[in-house]
Amino acid sequence: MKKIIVVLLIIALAGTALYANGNSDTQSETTGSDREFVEKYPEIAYGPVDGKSMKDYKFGFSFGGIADYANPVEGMANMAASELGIPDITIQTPQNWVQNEQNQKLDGLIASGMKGIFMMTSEPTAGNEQINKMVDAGIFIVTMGGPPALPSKSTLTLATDVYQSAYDATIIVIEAIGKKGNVVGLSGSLNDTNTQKRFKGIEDACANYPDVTLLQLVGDISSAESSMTKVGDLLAARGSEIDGLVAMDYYAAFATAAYMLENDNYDHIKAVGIDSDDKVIEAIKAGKMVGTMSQNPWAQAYISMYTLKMLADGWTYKDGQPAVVDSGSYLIDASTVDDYEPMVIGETMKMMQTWTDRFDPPAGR
Amino acid sequence: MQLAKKAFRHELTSVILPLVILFLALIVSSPGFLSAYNITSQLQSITIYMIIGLAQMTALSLGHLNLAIGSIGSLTSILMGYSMQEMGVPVLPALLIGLVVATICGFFQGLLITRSRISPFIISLALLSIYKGIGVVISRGVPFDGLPDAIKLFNRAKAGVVPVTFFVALATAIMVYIIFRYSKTGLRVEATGANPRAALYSGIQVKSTVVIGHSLSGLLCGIAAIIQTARFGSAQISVGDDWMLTSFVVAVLGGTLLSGGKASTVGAVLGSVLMVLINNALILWNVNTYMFPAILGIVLLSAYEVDRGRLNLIKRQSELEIDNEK
Repeated sequence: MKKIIVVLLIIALAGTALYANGNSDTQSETTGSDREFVEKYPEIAYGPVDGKSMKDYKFGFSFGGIADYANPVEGMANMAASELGIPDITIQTPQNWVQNEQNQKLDGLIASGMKGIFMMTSEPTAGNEQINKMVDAGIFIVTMGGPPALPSKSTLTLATDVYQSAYDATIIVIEAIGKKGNVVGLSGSLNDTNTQKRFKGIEDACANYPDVTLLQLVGDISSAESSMTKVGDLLAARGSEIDGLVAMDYYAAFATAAYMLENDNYDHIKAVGIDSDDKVIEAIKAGKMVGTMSQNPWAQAYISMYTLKMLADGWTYKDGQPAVVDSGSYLIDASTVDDYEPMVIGETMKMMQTWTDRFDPPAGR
Repeated sequence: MQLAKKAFRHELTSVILPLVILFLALIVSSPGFLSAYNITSQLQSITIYMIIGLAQMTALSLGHLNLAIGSIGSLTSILMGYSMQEMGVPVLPALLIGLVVATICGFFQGLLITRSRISPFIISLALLSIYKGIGVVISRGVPFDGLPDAIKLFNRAKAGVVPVTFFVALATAIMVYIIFRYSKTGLRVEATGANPRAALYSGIQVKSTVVIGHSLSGLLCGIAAIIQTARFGSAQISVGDDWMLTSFVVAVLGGTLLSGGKASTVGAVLGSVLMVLINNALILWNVNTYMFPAILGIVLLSAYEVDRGRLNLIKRQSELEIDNEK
């Protein structure tokens, strides 16, 4: 039996090593140099500028924790890499939303030779100290998804204006319930400063309507398990009182969609979620949810790669430009549910048209 | 050959051997491994792992578990942050408050274990929630990010490539080593963990030994919380979120028995280095991020198998020697 265990372990380790090798081979083969350059933005140099080599354009990505939100990142970042003639992105994301874990990933990326990283911190405040450390070591940092605590040494953040997104979502819900009734708001981890902003957006929107009562705000929904429990408990206890529901967290939206799909008792509730999990999309198609506020990870990845390339080439972010650039938030409802991805990619390309206006070009250009 | 056999018989072989192999493999395969940035970063990680490993080792040597290890760290961080930011307490007194709070948390855990008839596991599990809950109530989930610059400077201070915090961890490890190797307290803790009844009959005050052991574990959590707060540059409720599992792995990799009665300070220190190197290797070798937990599990099982093989070999050799003497 012992021998079998040992053999199994060896096979598992060997398999892992081969897999890892295969992974890294794939990444090193697909450098941009052998790809056709699509000259979309002629002011941005293709490939290495004078005095630089491909090594100076090795960029990494780390999201705060594993989440479906980051699924479009690899494809969009590699599309940008291909257009720019630089190596593909290297990704290292922590399993959990734990800053210590992410710090190790980020330090490992830098030890692997990355010269620039675009990332979302696992925790906005704790992550800022790591950003300081990396920038001080000469690494270009662009943040995306959600901003670190400000001020930050990150060049800029491409993110959703979470307050505005929550405010807009609440208005949509209030309109759907006829501007009268009880609304509840759901959001994520209480450690996340964005949770407070989202709650504020929901509160402010409700405050505009005298016949609307904000029944309850539920936070700390930060995992699949807790979301099913908390949303389930809420609907079971107060489902009949609730007229509108705003779920401004990925997991909260997922759980809301799951319960709405499974249970006809909640058909009277008009719900708007966030992000585009398959379950949420299914609920919108089935008419069980009004819609969802799609963020724009497509733009965040694509534009971040361009930004890192520009910074490595010597471009500098202009003084006076905002630290946080809104990458947009779009309502996906029954009318747009089938073609939202091309729509947000289209919006991304529109943003990119004027992107270089935010930067000063390198000296001599 | 004789030397190799002797080395293999050493109880730390199961952690030293993979450590050396991994270290050499990283030097050969990854040029960035020995970069100043990476050395500093890895030492910063080792610092935290080492101290929480020692905290867990202390509880394990009593034959108990400290599941509240992360929550003690979290509450300590929050109270330090609150005292500095909201009450204007200067840095050093605030750090002292943190250490006292952490020690009291450990003391209370030990007291509940000895005074109640509830299982130590249940008490530790309950305190995990209670300490975390108190931290959430005080902070309302919002980090204290306006800490004095001295805290951040403490994290950034280096002697060459070695962070100052690493020296603090080393000093802590030496203190723990002295306690377990040379003091009566350490011997009493191990004796209590090995067999509480026998310890009682030997004249050891088991209840006070348990309280002292848990207080020491709490104090170590407090030291780790100070360093973690400095590394984050802010005091927040998430400090300690990833400590529990890591602390067990570090202590067990280092040869501390889950059943109690044996503490290996040097082993825990080496275990922390091994854990950090494994994580660093997986990233430097660009192993798919989704594979990490599975690989860590395999590494743990492998380390356990190596240790078991070593013990079997020692047993066989001893039997052989006895047979030869006959």
